[in-house]
Amino acid sequence: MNPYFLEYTIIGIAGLIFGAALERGRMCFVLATNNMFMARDTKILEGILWAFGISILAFGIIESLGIVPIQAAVEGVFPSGWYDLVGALLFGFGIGLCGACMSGLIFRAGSGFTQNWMQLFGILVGTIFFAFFIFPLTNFLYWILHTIPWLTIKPGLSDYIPHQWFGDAVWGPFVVALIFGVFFLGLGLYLTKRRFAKISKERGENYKEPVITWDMLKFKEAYSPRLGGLLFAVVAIIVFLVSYFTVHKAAYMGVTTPYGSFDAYILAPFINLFTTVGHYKASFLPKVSSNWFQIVPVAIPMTLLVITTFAGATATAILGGEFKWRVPKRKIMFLQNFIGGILTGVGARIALGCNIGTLWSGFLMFSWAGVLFLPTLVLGMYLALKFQQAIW
Amino acid sequence: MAEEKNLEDVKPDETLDVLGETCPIPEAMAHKKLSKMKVGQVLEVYTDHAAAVENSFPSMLNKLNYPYCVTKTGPGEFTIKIKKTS
Repeated sequence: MNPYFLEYTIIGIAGLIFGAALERGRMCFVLATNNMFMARDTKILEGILWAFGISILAFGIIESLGIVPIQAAVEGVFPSGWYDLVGALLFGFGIGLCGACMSGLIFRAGSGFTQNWMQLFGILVGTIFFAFFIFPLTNFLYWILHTIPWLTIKPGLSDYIPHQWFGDAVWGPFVVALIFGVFFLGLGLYLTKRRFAKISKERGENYKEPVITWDMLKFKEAYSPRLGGLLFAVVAIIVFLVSYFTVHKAAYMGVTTPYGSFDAYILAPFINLFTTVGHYKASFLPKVSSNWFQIVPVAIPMTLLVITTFAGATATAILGGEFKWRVPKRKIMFLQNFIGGILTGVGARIALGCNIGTLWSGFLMFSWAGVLFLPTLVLGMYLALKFQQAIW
Repeated sequence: MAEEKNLEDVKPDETLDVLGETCPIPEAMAHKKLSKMKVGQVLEVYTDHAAAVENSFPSMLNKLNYPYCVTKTGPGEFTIKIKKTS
């Protein structure tokens, strides 16, 4: 069988599972943060921590056992640096304004929230704005690596923590995975136990939450954080293994680049309008013309994954009886989501990815990207929450 | 504070329509509105953000110790009645 066909088929199916996990598990980083800051509720956060913990441990085992050799795994490791902090702050504020992270918007838009379609439109506009007005016709990745290489760790092995700490030891990825994975899983487990204890106290009975029920399988009930987290992890593992065993380029989860691809599809007929200006044209045109948004091929499996994720989220919303076109009564929310979307798009481009591609996949790559992205992402979301509490 | 079904038939003093809006707007606006209401009054919130109904509203109202009642009024659409008690 054609390996490309096999890769696209399996990744397409993985996208459906991802969409179901997002929508049924309510897996949204903004929702998790807002609930934690506003109500000290950690249920959604627990799902994200489970997802991170399980997938990080799995990736460490896969690489240490050589199922995907380290040389292949580091091919996709991108550089980390100051721009992760800056991009994550803008991105965090943007998604906070929209009430949905880059992946959370998929299940909101898929459930019929029109304001999140406006957020998606803002992201597409922000990506174009970044590509043509902030960094006209040049490649941002090339710029940070060659024009201002300070405070930047080069891609590949240079930004691979197991290599930095343990050299070429095959057990390196497993040890690093153990450190990060146990941290996330331990925190998830602690928060789950604490939440159960709190509810038990309120209800005066021993509260427990099933991991899986028939109603969850029939999409009639929201997924437990542990089921949502497990499905998230399974999708990342499938994508990583399938891409390696079919086309021999191990791929990490990403959402931002496919959004850039959607832009490229929409603007393809007008490419000449955008490629005839700017002094970078002479030196970079061959690269730019292959892709305007960071030299990533337009037709990549991740683009299909995002499309089927939308389909999966919409399908489970319909099956769960929750799909409905929802138009906010206060039309100003469209403007807020458009502005938030622009910030989301620009921030994600600066950080070379979003809460999936840079944060989660950053940890899965065992690079510093995730560690750098996390604090300013949370700060950005917190500031957006405070801003909205003040104005509304 | 657990959900209180006896609030179902109580006539609300104030209403808040946040249909079509996602977090943190429904919870933040409800919280703000409640803070301006008098003790004993009831707020009725219309929302279709299921995740807020499942998680953030119960947690926030439990923290405030306000009794509340959730009624499903349509596909993914809910009415929450909240009584300000302190």
